[in-house]
Amino acid sequence: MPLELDPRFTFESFVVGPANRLAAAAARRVAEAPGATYNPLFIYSASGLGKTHLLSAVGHLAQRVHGATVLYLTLEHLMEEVSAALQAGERDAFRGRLADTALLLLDDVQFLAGQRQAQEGLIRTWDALSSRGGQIVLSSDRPPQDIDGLDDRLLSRLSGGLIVDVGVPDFETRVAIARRKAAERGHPLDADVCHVLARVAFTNVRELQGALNRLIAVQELEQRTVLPEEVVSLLGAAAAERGQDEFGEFLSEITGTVSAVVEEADRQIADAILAWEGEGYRTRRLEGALAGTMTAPQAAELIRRFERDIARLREIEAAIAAVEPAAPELTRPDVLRDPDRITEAEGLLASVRERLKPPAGPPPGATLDAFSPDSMAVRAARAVAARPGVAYNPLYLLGPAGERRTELLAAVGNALKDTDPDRLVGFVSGAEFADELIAALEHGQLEAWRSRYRRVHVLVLDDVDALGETEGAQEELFHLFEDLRRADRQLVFGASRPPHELPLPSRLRSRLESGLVVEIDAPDLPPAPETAPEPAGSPAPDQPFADSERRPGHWILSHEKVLWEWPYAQDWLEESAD
Amino acid sequence: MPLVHYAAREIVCKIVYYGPARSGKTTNLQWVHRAVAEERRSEMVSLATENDRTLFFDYLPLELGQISGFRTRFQLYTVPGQVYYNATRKLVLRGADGVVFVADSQPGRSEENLESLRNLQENLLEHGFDILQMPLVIQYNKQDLEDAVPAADLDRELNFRDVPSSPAEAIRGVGVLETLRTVSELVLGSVAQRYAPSTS
Repeated sequence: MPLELDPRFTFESFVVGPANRLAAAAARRVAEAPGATYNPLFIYSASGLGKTHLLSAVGHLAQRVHGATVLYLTLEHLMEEVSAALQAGERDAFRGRLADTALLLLDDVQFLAGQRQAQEGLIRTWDALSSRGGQIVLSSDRPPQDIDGLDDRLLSRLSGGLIVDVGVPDFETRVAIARRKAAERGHPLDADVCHVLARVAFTNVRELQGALNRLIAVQELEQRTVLPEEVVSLLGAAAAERGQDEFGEFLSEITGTVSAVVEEADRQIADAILAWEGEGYRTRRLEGALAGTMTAPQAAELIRRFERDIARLREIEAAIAAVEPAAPELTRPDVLRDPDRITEAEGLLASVRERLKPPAGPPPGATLDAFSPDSMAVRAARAVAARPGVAYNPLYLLGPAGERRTELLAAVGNALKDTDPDRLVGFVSGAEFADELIAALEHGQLEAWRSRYRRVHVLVLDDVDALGETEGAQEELFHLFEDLRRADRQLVFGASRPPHELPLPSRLRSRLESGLVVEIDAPDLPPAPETAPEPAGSPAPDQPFADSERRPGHWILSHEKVLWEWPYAQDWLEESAD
Repeated sequence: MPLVHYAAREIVCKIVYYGPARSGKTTNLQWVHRAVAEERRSEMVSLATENDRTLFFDYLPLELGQISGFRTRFQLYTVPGQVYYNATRKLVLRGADGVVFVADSQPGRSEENLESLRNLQENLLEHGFDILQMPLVIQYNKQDLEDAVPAADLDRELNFRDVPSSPAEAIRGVGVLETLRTVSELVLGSVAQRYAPSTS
């Protein structure tokens, strides 16, 4: 049977002082966001200092805020339940009950010491709960490392959460507790009575409360006000002895000082956690350090590095927003708010930059004026520059590899830029295109790379021949071609062989030759070898629109549709006829 | 040796009671020893001559138990006050985290008090400590004697560093634990200061 949460034990009735501040703050956070922050939360302290109160408070608040299903058990009860369920063959029934539980509060887990079966049971229970994001809060009279024979798996699970202790309250907290409890009982005590009471060296809050009850009982039953000077006598010999225990008082005061020293690191870390969590950042790294094993300077260094990483995350976020305010990367708080994922955040920024990096443009200086205006390629290039995406798309310039072809392609690119400076012209060789793809794959930036090329208004790709054996690049070029064409973007290609001779997939080949394929008028272009006699009925060799493939100085007409799209075709036909 | 061992989760605090011969250093420790509840009391080691003069040193280990998960132990030492035992004083002083200077309030002991204070400064310097950096408390003992020099006068005479000081009657335990508490807080405070994060 699960235990009932004591309705008196809430956060409102828990008096917070230096000795329990961290535990109370952690418990409240867990109750406000079960399963999301410190999971598990392990609270330990000597008896009577408020562990059970905190456990109950977590349960009440989680129920109130989230309507969470809370299961509150002592370890002993849990084990009884598990073994009873096993004996009755109702293992599934118990599991079913756990399945409904969002928050498991487990008291007195120090009894796990040496209990292998109980530890196994707890691990199974834990796994069942945490697999559904459930929260577990445990309490013990000692830290996990002091529980004899605790299974390593349990130790490692516990160290994945937060381990906090509750210390003996200092004098001021004891006064506050005395006042609060008396007020709750409807019998406020004289301020000096509370002071005298708090000076009695009780070892825990429970004893203090017991003494308080006695004083209240006197007030209640005797209908009179207890005076400060009678407190010790009313509390009996034990308190009188304690009151005279000068060493106990010394110890109590030293305890406060020691706690302040050794908990300085934890306090700094806890403050940083609260501050940064409030700002929406993940503080897992700091939470992991809340085990009291750090010196204050180590904690300060940890926090400094943590905050440096947060500053970098902020820079990254600002940098992404600056280059692309609507970047989808900005909707990744899991990365941009997690200092432990700074490498991924840097990756996001790199990815955005890569995506937005303008592709390399054509080498400056190359102009179409450097080429014979009568050259068919130049005339076609000028037509493309005048009406990009409309005239000849793609324009496929055919000529031997070398500077002249590259220069002409660059000149086409520059002409397109000259007519519209905002026009984004990408200029790349086939080999570079393939290399870039490999690099993008290597660095996990494929989408960014693809996106970069899809932003161009004009794509000039020289040396298509180099894509002959690069299947991936061929595939990428095919899809890029399709996307750009669909958006009426201009494509210009340079190659030493006509499309149908390139070892490319037919769907890409057919697209490359779907615009205008024109041979570059290059003076150094070697003459075409004499070919076999023309088949009967074929047009005369000097007729330009006949089969003129491989004839240097002439453009290649492989498909009729090219002719119809070409505005100068008619003039040229007439000139040729003359 | 560091005072706070974070890895071992242990605090070891060494406090040395210094002062001229027969000023009441051992009496301080004996009172502390008596004040400790029996169940946590350890043996006090005292190496004394027949006429109760400390021959080598007194040693009283104080187990304060687990505080914030740290096993906290105080080690209280006295030094022999006689001038010729300086080598022992130096030895005992080594690794001290704090010093209680027990001054003798009897009239005519001013010179011994001052000489012992000078000797403390020299010995600390030999260990590389400026007396200004060492947590130090001065206790004006034997204030119960009728002809005792008032604590305020002794303060003017001896407390030129303006460190915490208090009157005491160690023989009756008056001011003994208060002195120990003051020096402990200074020691622990110095740890906090030493470990405080740089504000730069």
